[in-house]
Amino acid sequence: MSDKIDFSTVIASAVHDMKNSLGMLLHSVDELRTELPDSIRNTDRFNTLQYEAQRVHGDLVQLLSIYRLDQKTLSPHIEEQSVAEFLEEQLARHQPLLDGMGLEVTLDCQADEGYFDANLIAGILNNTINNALRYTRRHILVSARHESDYLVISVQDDGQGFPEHMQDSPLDTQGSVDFANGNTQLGLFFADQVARMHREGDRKGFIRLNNTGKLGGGNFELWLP
Amino acid sequence: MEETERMQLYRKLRFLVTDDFENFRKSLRQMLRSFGAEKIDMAANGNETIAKCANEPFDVLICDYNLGSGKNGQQTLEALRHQGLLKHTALFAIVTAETSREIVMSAREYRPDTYIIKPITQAVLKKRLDALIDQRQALLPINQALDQGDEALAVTLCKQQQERQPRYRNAIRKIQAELHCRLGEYEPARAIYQQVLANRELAWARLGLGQVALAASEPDEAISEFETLIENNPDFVEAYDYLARALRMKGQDRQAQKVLEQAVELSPLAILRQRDLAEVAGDNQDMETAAGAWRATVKLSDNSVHDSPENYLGLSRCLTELSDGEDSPEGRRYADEALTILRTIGSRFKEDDDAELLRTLVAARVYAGQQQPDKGHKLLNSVSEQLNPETLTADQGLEYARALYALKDPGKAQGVLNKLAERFEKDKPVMEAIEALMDEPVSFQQKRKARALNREGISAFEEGRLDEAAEAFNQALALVPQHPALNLNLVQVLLKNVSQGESPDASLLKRCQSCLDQLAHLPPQHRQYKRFRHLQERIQSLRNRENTQ
Repeated sequence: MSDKIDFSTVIASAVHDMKNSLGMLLHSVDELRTELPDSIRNTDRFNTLQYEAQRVHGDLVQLLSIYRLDQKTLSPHIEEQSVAEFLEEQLARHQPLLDGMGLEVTLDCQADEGYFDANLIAGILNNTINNALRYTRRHILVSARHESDYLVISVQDDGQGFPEHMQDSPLDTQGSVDFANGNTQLGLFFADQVARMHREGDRKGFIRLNNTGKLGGGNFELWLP
Repeated sequence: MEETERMQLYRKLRFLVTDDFENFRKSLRQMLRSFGAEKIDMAANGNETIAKCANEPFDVLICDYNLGSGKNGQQTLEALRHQGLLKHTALFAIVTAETSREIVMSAREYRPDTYIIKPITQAVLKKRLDALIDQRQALLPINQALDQGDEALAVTLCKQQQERQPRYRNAIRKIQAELHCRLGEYEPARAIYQQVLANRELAWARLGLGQVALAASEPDEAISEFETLIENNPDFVEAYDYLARALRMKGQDRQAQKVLEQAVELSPLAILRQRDLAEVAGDNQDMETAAGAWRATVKLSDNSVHDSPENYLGLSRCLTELSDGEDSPEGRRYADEALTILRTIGSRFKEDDDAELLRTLVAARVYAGQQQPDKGHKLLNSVSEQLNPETLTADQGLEYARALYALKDPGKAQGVLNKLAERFEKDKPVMEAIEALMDEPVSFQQKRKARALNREGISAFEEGRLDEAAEAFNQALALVPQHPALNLNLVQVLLKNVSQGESPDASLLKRCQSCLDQLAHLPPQHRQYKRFRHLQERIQSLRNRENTQ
């Protein structure tokens, strides 16, 4: 043991702890939502409570993943997945909050199977959907399709859309995270890294952002080989 | 599947929820009830889960990873599998709040049907269970055939269902290929894996291909498959285990040890992997690494279905080697640790007479190595009536012989080993152990030196540097004078210079004869025996020639 403290290890372990605590808290909130009277559970304040807790939880999960990415201990376990089952489960995670906020969400799955690491991709979608919850007006569309031999999972909303400077296609985040600008880009950085880890032969996954979706708002696309 | 149909299934299936927190158990039960489940039992820990499963079979088990002080969820799963208490038709879900790498890796390794990361919401649980139950339903006939032990029927069903169940085609192919492999039908197994891989590089299919090669005793092919797999999936830890096995099949034990060391670093909580590493490191005379891996094995023995006196004996034997002849503080520490572990065997496995005898014999060796032969002899005397070479088990006999060598009684040790060789001549692993001990009844440091010198001698011999070869073998023999291969190697090197018809000088013949005399004890079952007899005859004829001239 060296006497020098490895600060990133300390932080990682603290993050781990906070994440587990928030997990317990979220579990309670979820239970409360089913037990409380409507006059409380569907209020903005209750929604904010759950939304913010969920958001921080998602951030912490991602932070840990980025740490492991950095430590080179994260590598994907790519397995065959039923895309419909997978997406339904991701939406189910957000359902109570979506209901509480009175938002409409549609799933349009035109893909049968896909090959990816379910935990890593769930982490990306969790944050993307959380993000859409924040910017949408009343409708979110999650869809999947096969296009040019890729599986494309897309999350769209009917909000204002992504600002011009974020719409790169495909996104280039190679070592260019601007930490000074808050953590918006960090989520995209992570999503991009995870997408790239999905390889098949010479093809690599990537992400795309644009405002050309069906709902008129932002359109986040995850392309997996 | 229709929702009403699924409700029916939930109603029929027997659920078991395991968690150490009552609140959590209740909340899960509440969720299951809302899905339509009626038969829901609950357990608070691993042992209760196992007891309930022994009593009646469950269809769906939902088990938390963290269960307090006893077995964790993964150990519970392992025990259920090991004791055959989990039907092929049953589903096992591990629930965990832990996403730490070690625990996820270890939970993944024992292949629960799924692991669900907390926090669990009702909606998420429903989706996950629905998907699992759909799959269970699709594979039900196949798994029922397996539960009845009818593997041939299961294969037939796999072939049929592949067409009917496109959604589960790969899952079915996987079962079918594993069955073929288990039944020794390597070609059809290979064909399935290759078919899958032709479409997409999937880890399970590549692993399967390597496993088939391993089962068919084709280590080279197996090694190449596992190496490809590791290149694509550097943290797929099972690939390392199998790669090590393939390397051992080829006799590349040092390489195998390196691979297992990597695997242990990736996923340190698997007891069998630690034990594999301990054994291969021990065979490589790398006692420090072996001791580390045995310590980990012993630590993981708690609550494990693989707990056994062997783990403790393995550690204490290894520590005995490390302490042998070392009166440094470090040597004494190793000896103390060995004696402590041996005492633990006494308290932990009280009813086990075999373990009791073995631990006494190992303890005698510890004292012998610490210059306390009196204590060693006293221990042997205390069990003397059990030390009959005609009735000892192979393990006991070997341990007895080790103790005798350590107590400087090689004659008696050889007698015991010769008797064992007679009784176990058809048992290959036992014969190898007898030979290894007879060949090198010395400390591992000396073994290490002798082996290095032997390798040096052989390469010198191969390059025609005969004097250097003879010198290396001579030095090695100074360490292990009765080593058969070394003695015979030296004889061969010395005779190499003697051409046909020429008579060698007397001193050379004398040296050869003294080598052969060292092997007078060699039992006919020893793998060097034929070579020994052959060289003995050769020397005899040369001496006759010398005498007649």
